[in-house]
Order: sequence, then structure tokens, then C-alpha cells
Amino acid sequence: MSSQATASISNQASWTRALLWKEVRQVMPLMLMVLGMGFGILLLILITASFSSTKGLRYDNGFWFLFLSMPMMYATGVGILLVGTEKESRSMLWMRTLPVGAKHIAWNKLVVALVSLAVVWLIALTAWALFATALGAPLSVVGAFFNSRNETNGWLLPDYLMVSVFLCLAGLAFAWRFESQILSLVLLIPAALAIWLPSYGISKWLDGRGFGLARQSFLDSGVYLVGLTIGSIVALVYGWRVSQKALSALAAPSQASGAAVWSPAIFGQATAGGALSEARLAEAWSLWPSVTPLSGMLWQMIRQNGIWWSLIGLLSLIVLGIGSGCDIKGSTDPIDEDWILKVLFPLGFLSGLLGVLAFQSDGIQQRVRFYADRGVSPTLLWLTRHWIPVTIVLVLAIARYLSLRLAPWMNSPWIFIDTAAVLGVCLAAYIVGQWVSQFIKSPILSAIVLPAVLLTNLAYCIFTVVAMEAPWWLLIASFAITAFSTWWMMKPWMERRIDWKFYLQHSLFSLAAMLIPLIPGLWKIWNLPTMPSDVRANLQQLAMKAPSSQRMQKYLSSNYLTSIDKIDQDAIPLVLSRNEEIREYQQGQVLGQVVDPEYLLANGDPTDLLKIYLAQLASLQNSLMSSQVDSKMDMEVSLRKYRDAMADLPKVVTGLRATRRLRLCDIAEQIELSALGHCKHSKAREWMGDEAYESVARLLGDDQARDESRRVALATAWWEPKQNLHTNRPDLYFGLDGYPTQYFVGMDRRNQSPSIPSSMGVLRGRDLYVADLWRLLELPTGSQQAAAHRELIDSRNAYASHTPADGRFIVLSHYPSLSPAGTWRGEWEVLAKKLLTEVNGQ
Amino acid sequence: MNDAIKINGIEMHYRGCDALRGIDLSVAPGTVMAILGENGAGKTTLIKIMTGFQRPSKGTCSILGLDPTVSDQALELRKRIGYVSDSPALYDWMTIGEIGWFASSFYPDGFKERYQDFIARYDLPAGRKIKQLSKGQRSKVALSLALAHDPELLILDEPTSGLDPIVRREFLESMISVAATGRTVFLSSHQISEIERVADTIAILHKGKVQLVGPLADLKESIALVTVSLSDPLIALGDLPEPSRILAEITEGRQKQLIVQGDGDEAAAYWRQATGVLGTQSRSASLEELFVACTRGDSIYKRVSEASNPTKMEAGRS
Repeated sequence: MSSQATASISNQASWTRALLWKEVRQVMPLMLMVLGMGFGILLLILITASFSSTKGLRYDNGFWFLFLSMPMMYATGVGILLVGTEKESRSMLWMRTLPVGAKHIAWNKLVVALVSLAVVWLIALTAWALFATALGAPLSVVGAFFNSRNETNGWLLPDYLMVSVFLCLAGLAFAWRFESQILSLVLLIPAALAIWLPSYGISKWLDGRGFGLARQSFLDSGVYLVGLTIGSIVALVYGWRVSQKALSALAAPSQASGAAVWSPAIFGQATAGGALSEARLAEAWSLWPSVTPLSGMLWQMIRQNGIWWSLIGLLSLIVLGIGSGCDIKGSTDPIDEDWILKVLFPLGFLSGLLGVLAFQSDGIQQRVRFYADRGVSPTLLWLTRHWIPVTIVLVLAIARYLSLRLAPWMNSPWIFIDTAAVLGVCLAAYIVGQWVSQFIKSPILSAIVLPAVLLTNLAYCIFTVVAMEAPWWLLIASFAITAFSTWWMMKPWMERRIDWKFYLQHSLFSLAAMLIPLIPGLWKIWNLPTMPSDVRANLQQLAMKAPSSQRMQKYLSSNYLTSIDKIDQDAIPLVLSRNEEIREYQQGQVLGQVVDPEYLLANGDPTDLLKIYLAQLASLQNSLMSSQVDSKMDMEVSLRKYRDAMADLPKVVTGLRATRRLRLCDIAEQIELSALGHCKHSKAREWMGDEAYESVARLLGDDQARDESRRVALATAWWEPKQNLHTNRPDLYFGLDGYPTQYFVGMDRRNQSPSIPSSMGVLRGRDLYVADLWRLLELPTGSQQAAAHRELIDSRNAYASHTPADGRFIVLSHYPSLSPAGTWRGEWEVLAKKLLTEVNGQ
Repeated sequence: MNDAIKINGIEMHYRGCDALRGIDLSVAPGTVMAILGENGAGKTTLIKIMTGFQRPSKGTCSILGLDPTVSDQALELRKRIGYVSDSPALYDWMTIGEIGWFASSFYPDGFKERYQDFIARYDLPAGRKIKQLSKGQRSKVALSLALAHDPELLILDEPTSGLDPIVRREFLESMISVAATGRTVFLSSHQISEIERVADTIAILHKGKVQLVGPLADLKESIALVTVSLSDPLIALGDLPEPSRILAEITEGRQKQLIVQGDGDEAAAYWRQATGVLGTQSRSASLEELFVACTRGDSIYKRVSEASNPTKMEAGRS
């Protein structure tokens, strides 16, 4: 290879690198913005969901849409950004002075557009895979967004991939063709429809179903894919040809056609037509009357933005027409989904576009410096930028009101509410749009990120109202601050002093707007009582000494209740016969199995088995008490069984306490309570035998061991959920070893909300309840203080269900126990100590 | 009479760059003040401070009695002055006539008529859109807009850039007539020959400092170019006796060219007697030579910094 050719190749390599570097630098802001917005919204959702007391996050809650929207938004803007920005800043002219061919310039832009789009796809899909997997989705489901085996999901990923490629290529083509970046962006809509509508029609013709964004059969996907491929090829070829033409020398305009570029001027004199119209204009302006600065500035806005305003107004009226059948008062639900999707969303977006136009049209080529150089008041300029667009929004609201008045099914109050909602949403979207317009210098970037910014604002508003209990009217203050910020920043914006101070001040305003709705919720959280620090320290220390290794199993429904909730002599035979049925169902000696706590835990909810256990004991006692024994043999068998069961009882209680589980310790105390009832029988020692009787009495009288196990179980129950946040079981997090917190912190279930302050209230309530129980254990058994403190704790329980103190209550309630520690510092403990004293005295 | 422009100790520091390092200037009303400097000297920065588009790091500034660093006063100031920046911003979709009509709404009566006169004088087609104009034509439109409201003070940043010679001459003549009516003109430029024609007072800005300021006529009289031929290029010439002083020294082979403040003939005679000097010549320095001397190399800066004050002469009164 000749040295000249080698030099040529190395030169080409070096400027190819340089060109690629430049293009990549140009697309980076869009990439970062799109990804930043997408992950920002995701973060907001995750924060909200982590405090929710409902079922928690699921991978199939529609998150795929969020991950999909990032590459789609990027695809919409990348082509236009690459070409349009250079045209606007005139750097394209300078590029053409360099010794680089038109082909290379166009080729580099094409490559960077497609490769950067691929990068964004990669990031989005990887993030989706990680996210879905973290939420427990199996691989096949993670891939459901990729290629589903489900007939109704078609080839979603290939379709959306091709849509993004088409948008990218079409955007490039339009940007080469047209001077206006906004026009290029807007034309993507009809271009996309030009592919989608025929594909939809063909698909419907073929299988009679048609397809939507999230559901399509393989046939529908295939048809759409073919349409997109053809569209992409057309866009690529057309874009290439236009790019080469744009980068070549312009042809000389013919004499007859006049102006080379058509520029529509509905509100002013037409400029196409050459010398004749120029002469007319030359005479006309001098005859125009003098006007005030306000009128002049309004005239300037109308001339500059009139066409866009008209277009947006027209589209809005079409939306109102389409949405005239959708209103806030649906058939059964107060909020109709169609009303949101067909009326609020489109009108909101269009109002946002109005807002973007407010400042962007003056920002192009620093036009607004015209005003700054002449000392025009920033306030006057701000007012004139908003006057007409806000009027358009008001007119839309009036149009909505009138359309609703014509609807026979609408009631008066709902008409006002609907109109107010539409007006509120449109104004809010407009305010956001005008903020974007001033904050982001590039018109194309601001138009592209507008939907994401609007969605983020919407998500944040929902977050503040639902998750932070913000009153809706505080949002008005928020948006008012956002509107105020653009007025405040008007002077530096006019003078194009757009530096770090400008962005900092704007960010501070935005921060204030975001924080204001949070104040009531944060104030509520701030004022929630906290657990005393000494109790916290004790609980933590105790829990961390030897954490429980046993996890609660999934609860079984207790469909074989064997107990009655009060002594009813007539019901005992029924209870006994039911016990026998269930015992046969259990296929084995329940008594023997129940002794082993591992067995209990392995069989799901141990409560039911223990109910059977206690019922068995009661049944054995009853058989001894009654004269239903047929023979001496039966009596001996029953006696032996009863003695063995009672001899094993301390082992059951000790075993349950050793699990350190609060729920099992409570069950152990139910057993102790039942055992106390057995011991109180006059023939208890005779039936149980001395050894068993004394063993049970020692167990019952050992309040130190009982209190120790209570402390450990309480500490473990309080501490363990804090370590298990990743299990995505909010009930575990909020509860106390499965006891639902809201029942014992005095919350009415009807008033529960998934808000953060409410959840924090539940958590703090839980902490306070635990602190109260800890304090209870510090009070001596049988003391008045203990009784009073017990009363206080019970007063907070929505369903206080502690057992009466006389020890005769030998069966458990058939309602599940909803609050922990129901037997703590009951009078039965005094009776148990007396029993031990009696036994020791004998 | 109060100065139209009074600048005291203005400094402007950017990160990694000191654009202005202590500027002191006074401009009497009814004069044409020209500020000369090479690219990056700080001219545009100074003008931005004067018009309130930039706050200085240090120093004070008074323009027509108003403080441009105060927001309200800056706006008021811009209404009273005619300002043309180095890249004037215009609404390019408007025609020349439309923009004049539009701008007239911000000024008192008479603007439109005067604007019409100006665009006729500059031969501008009123019906043509601004985006269709050449660079020079855009400059003319910007100038017309600035002049049309008959401001007390004109601040022009490179006003003749892009103008053809005929228009440039006409513009300069109009500057003289503007000053003659008691208006003040402050302009920055590279075009030294034009400055020589119109300016009453000039200031030479170099590396953020005013190297030289004074009435043009006085400067020309008091500054001379002395050429000294030497037998040995390494021979150093001694300083001149007071009140003369050397402002700049350029060595080319065995010849030294010295810009001298004071009597050039006396300086030439003084050095003729020095050892190794073969001959001397003296003549008045042109403004261009003065400008080059002020802005090239370290010699001027070193000499000036050794003196107690930079050379400063009172602004003349017309």
C-alpha cells in the first residue's frame, strides 16, 4: 500500500474517531436525561411501595412499561437531536467547511444514533431483568417481556425494538429535511400512525382481532413487524438522500418561484412571492399605528407561535370531541379509566407542549436578548409569554364545561368537578411545561423530556397525596412556586446568564415546590412517639444474643376448630365427639406428636394441633370425671393416658419456650393456663400421680423462667422483622411474630391507609406496644401497678382477648388470637404461685 | 459637569482567568471614547459590566448616573442608551420594517421616523426578513435600532464589523455628529484607522488593564517613535531623563524601536551620545504603533509597573 494511501487511511481513521466523539458527546445529555428520569420514577415507586402495608411490589405490576419507555423516548429524540441541534447552532455550516465528505458526516450520525439506541436498550433490558428477578420473577416470566410463549403477548420485544429503530431513522430523516426541530418531532406522530394503522387494519382483516400496546397475537406481531421493517427501510433511504442533498451545495432558486424556502405566515403578510411582496411590506409597516410595549410583545408572540398554538388548540378540541363520552362520573366507579386516558392525559400533554413553547421560541438563537438589550421589564415579558397560552387553557376548560352541559347523563355537581379537574390538570401541565422550557436550553430536549417530566410530576403528586397524606390543595402551592420560579429567573434567562447559579436557583425553587406538600406528612412522622432508648437497647441486646433460627410457616386455615369460647356443659359432648373425629383424621397419636415442637412447626400452624392437644387432655379428664367409663379396664387406660399426657406437659411448654417465638410462647402459656385448670380439680393429684402433679406445679410456679422466656420471645419478635425487609412480607414487617399490629395499636382497620405516616404510625405503635409489654414484665406479679398497666395495654387492643383469670377456662377461643401476650400478668399467675406453695408445703 | 461614564477599580475574575484587573476610566459627556485591545483583552467584558449584563468581582461603575449593577437601574439604563453587542440578537423571522415597528413600541415618539431614515440611509430593504440578510446588513439593522431612539449614550461593541467601507465611513461621520449634539459614544474596535478619525479619547486595554488612556490628539503629540541603530545588538540603552519615559521597546537585529512619551527629538539626541549608537531617528508614533507597543511583549508592562502610576491623562473636554 502506498504511503499516500496509508496516510489517507490514518487521516480517515483519525477524523472518523473525532466525528464519532463529537456525535457521542451530543447525544449524551439526552441519554442521561432519559435514563435518569426513568430510574428516578422507578425509585419513587420503590420508596412508596416499601412503606405500603399492602401486598408489596410484584414484578407484573406493569413495570415493563417504565423500562420500555426509556429506549422509546430516546429513539424519538436522538435523530432530531443529532441533526437539528447542529442546524440550530449553525455548526453544520462549519462542519461542511472541513475536508470531510457529506457521506461520512451522515454515516457517522446514523451509526451513533443506532448504536446509542442499542446501548439504551441494553441498559433498560438489563435493569428490567435484574429488577424482575429481584422481585422473585422466574426466568420465564422475565423473558415474558422478551418473547412470550403466551399467544396473547406475541413478539413484544422485537416489535418495540423495531418501533424504536423506525422512530430513530424517521427522526433523522425529518431532521435533515426540515429546519424546525419541533416540526420534525411532531411529524413522527403521523409517521408512526402511517405504519401502525395499516398494520392494525391488515391484522384485523386477517384474524378479526386487531392488537394493542401490550397484547397481540403472533400474527399481529408479525404483520406489525413487517410494516415497521418496510417503514424503517423507507426512512433510511429517504433520510440518506435528504442528508446528502442538505450537505451539498444548494441549487439556485428559479426567478419565478421567489423565496427559496416556504415559510407559512397566517398572521402576517405572506412572504412567498419575491420582490412584489417585499415592496408591499416595505410600504405597509410604516403605516402601522404605534402600539404600547404590551401590544407589541403580544403581536410578537402571536406571530411567532400562532401556528403552533392553533395546532395544539385544534388537537385539544379533537381530544375533547373524542372524550366527550368519557367523564368523571362513570357507570359504577367514580373515576372512569377512559376519562383519564382519553381526556386528562392527552389534554395534559398538549397543555405541557403549550408551556414548552412559552420560552423556547424566544430562546432559539438567543432572540430574547433583543428585549434584554432594550431594558424591557422581565415581568412584562413573563406575562406576555403566558397570557395567550393560559387563555387557550381556560378556553379548553370552558369548552369542556359546555360539552358536559350537553350530555344528558351528567349531573350539575359532577360537571363542575369534571371541569375543575380538567382545568387543574391542564394548568398544572402547562406550568410544568413552561418550567421545562426555561430550564432546558435546547428546544428539542425540552420537547422530548416533557412527557417524562409530566409523568414524574404526576407520580410525585400521587406520592405526596397517597403516600404522604398531603392535602390536595397543597399541590396548588407547589405548582404556584414552580410558576413563580420562572418569573423570578426571568432576568438572568433574558440576559442569557445561564450558568451554574441559574440552575442552582431553579433547583432550589423546585426543591421548595417538592418539599411543601411533604410538610404535613413529615410533621406527623416527626410527632410520632418513639420507644424509650433504654428499652430499645435492652431489646436489641437480648435479641442479638441468640437469634431465633426457626421461621414461621405459612398459616393454614383453621377449619377444624375443636373448642368453644365459653363453658357450656351441653356443648361438651359435641366438642368431645368432634375431637374424636379430628383425632382419627390426624391418623395418629396426637399427644405423642405434640410433645415434639419440631413436629408442630413442620405441620403448619401449630395452634390447631395444640387445640386438639388441649382438647384431648380435657377429653381425658372428662372421661375420668364422668361416670361414662364402661369398665375398670377403660378407667385404667384413660388414667394411664392422662398421666402420661400430663407428665409430658412440662416438656411441651419448655419446648415451645425454647423456640423463642412469641406466638409459640403464648401458646405455651395457654397450655399452662389449661394445666392450671387441671391442677385445680380436686382429684388432680390422684389422677395425675404425685410426680406429674408436682412437676406441673413447679412449671406453673416458676414465674422467673416464664418471664425470661417472655422477654426473649418479645425481643426476638420485635427485632427479627427489621432484619427481614427483603422478604417482601409487609405483614411480617409490621406485625409481631405474625400478630397483626393494627389490632393491638388501637387502629381502626377502616382508617388504615398505605401512606408512609400511617405505616410509620403502625411501626411506632408496635414499638410502643412492645415497650409497654417490657415495662409490664418489670412489674411484680399480682401487684396493682401490674394490673393497671395490663388494663392500659388492653385498652389499646381492638380485640383484647386475654383469658379470664380463674383458670377454669380450659379450651381456647375459636377465634385466632389477634394480640400477643394476652396471658401476661394475669391473675392466673398468682394462682399458679399459690399452687406451688401448696405443693412445696406438703 | 458629571462624567457620562465613571468606572473605578473594576475587576472581573473568572475561574482560571482574570478578565479585568482594575479598570479606571472616566468619559465626559459629548465625547467619543474608543477602547482598543487585542482579542481577549477584556473589552466585551467591560461593556457587559457597563450595560448591567455582568456583575464585576470588584469595583464600581456609574453610567449616566445609574449603577448598572443594581437590577432596576440596569433596566432603566438600557432604556436610555443605545447598545449594540458584538452579536446582536434579532427576531430573524421579522422583516426589517416589522422589527423597527416592533421596537418603536418601547421608545417614545419619533423612533419610527428616525428608524426609517436610517434604513433608507443604509439602503436596507424594509420588506426583507432578517434571516435573509447578510452579516453586514444585520449589523446595519442593529445600528439603526440603536440609533433610532436618539439615546444619550451609545455603547457599541465592534459596530463596524461586517460593514462595507462606504457605510463604515458614513457611520463614523454619524458618530461625530452624534457627539456634536452632546451625546456620548463609547465604542470598542480593532479598526485603528477609524478610531483615529472619530475618537476624542482612546483607551488601550491589554490583559485586563488599561495601558494607556487619554485624548487622542495629546497622545499623538506626546508619543514618539525613536529608532536607534546600534553597532552591537546586545547594547542596552539607558533610561531617559524625566519627564520623558520609555513606554515600549522592540529590538530587531541591531535596531531598537522605542515608543517614548515625551519629546522624541530630545530622546533621539540623548541616545545619539550613548556608546555604540550609530544613529537615531524620531517621528510621531501612529496609533497603530502605539497599540502594538502597548499590547506586544512584556516590555511595556514591565516599564509601566515600575512607574508609580500607569500613564493617565485627563480626558479632554470638547
